[in-house]
Amino acid sequence: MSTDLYFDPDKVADRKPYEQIDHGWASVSPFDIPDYLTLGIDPKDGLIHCIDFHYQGGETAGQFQRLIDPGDPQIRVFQGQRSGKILRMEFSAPIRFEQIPDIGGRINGAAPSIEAPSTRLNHMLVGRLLQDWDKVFTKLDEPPNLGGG
Amino acid sequence: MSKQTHWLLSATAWYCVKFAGALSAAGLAASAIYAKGDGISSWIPGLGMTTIIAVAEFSGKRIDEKEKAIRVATDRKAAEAIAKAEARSDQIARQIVTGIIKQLRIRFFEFGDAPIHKTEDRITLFVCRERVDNGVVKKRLEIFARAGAYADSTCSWDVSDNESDECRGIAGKIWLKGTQIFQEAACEYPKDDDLGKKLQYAESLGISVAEAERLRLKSISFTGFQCMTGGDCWGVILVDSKRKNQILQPETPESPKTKQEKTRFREQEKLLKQYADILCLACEGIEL
Repeated sequence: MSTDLYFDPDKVADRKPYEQIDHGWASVSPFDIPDYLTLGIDPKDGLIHCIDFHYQGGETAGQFQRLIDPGDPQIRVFQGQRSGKILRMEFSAPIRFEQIPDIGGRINGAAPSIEAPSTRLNHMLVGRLLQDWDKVFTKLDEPPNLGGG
Repeated sequence: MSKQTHWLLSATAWYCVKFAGALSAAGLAASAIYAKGDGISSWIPGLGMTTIIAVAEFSGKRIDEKEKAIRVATDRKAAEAIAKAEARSDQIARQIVTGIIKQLRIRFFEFGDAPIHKTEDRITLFVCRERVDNGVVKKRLEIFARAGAYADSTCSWDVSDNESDECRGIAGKIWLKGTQIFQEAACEYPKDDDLGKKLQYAESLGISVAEAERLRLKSISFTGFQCMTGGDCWGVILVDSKRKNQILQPETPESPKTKQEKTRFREQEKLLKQYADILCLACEGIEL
């Protein structure tokens, strides 16, 4: 079972990271700002085993997988071949909804050590969005059925 | 075989091979074997058959040549038609994309009662093209569409996936970093020959003084990002202005923004995201 959740552009803009560079600033490219995410939910227990992020630009995930910190559960990140942006996140053990902000915090924590600016800024943004996951989606008339967990 | 007969046979064989084909030459040889040199009368049936074959082969060859000529002419016409159609579709694509960025330019620079400046506010979509230079593949950002001053410019910037020094100008910097960039020149380009100011201006934009001198619009503020299609970087979108505070920079503790500036900055950011999505789709079908 999967559930799509669309980001509110205003809420995303509030969380855009900026880094100072010579004579200016660098920020996450519009093509590295996710439009929505898909939660991969196990219908048996309602736990999340993966999260897919969707962007404009059609980049596909490479073979390269990055393990974010040694925390529990382990997070495997599938990055875009060119930009290094997060396209998919898999967890070594399924997680509950309440754990999503913690996952966001870990990604945010790992971001500063990433060398490539586009990858680093995308990780920062995704981390921040997951940390505030209950505030960043477009308002729906009815809350989506996110299962138990 | 007499000397005359020998010459006659050789000449006929040569003509057969040249104008008719191997089959008639073979026919001639067969009639020589059949005649065994028993006088000219014994040659008549063989030579008759050979002549018929030669005429048939010659006609066949002529038809082949005609068909070949027609095919070449048809291929040339088809190639010309394809080139014409490609040029037309390229022109249409440029017109469509120019229309999109013209709209973005108006929405990006017009705010409240402040109108857009006809010659000092600009948006350019650069396309990345490759060329082989001394066996090395070189990349260059060329103007694909422009809304604003000097739309007919042929200005282009070198870029490289590997060498940062080979990425020229703000467009090159955007290409290299893969992020959105907000940048302001260290100073305005001097109206006099102040070389120090020229150097300061050029260095802050990642170009040489000579390159800065060649710029017809000496912009001072910039923002831009890579344009992605099909998972690849198609080019670069660059917004530039010669006016101060038209392309707003992010807020810092050192340079706090007014409420109006904050609203405008947010609007500009949202517009760039919206139009990035549109341009991504528009450029997807354009073959380079």
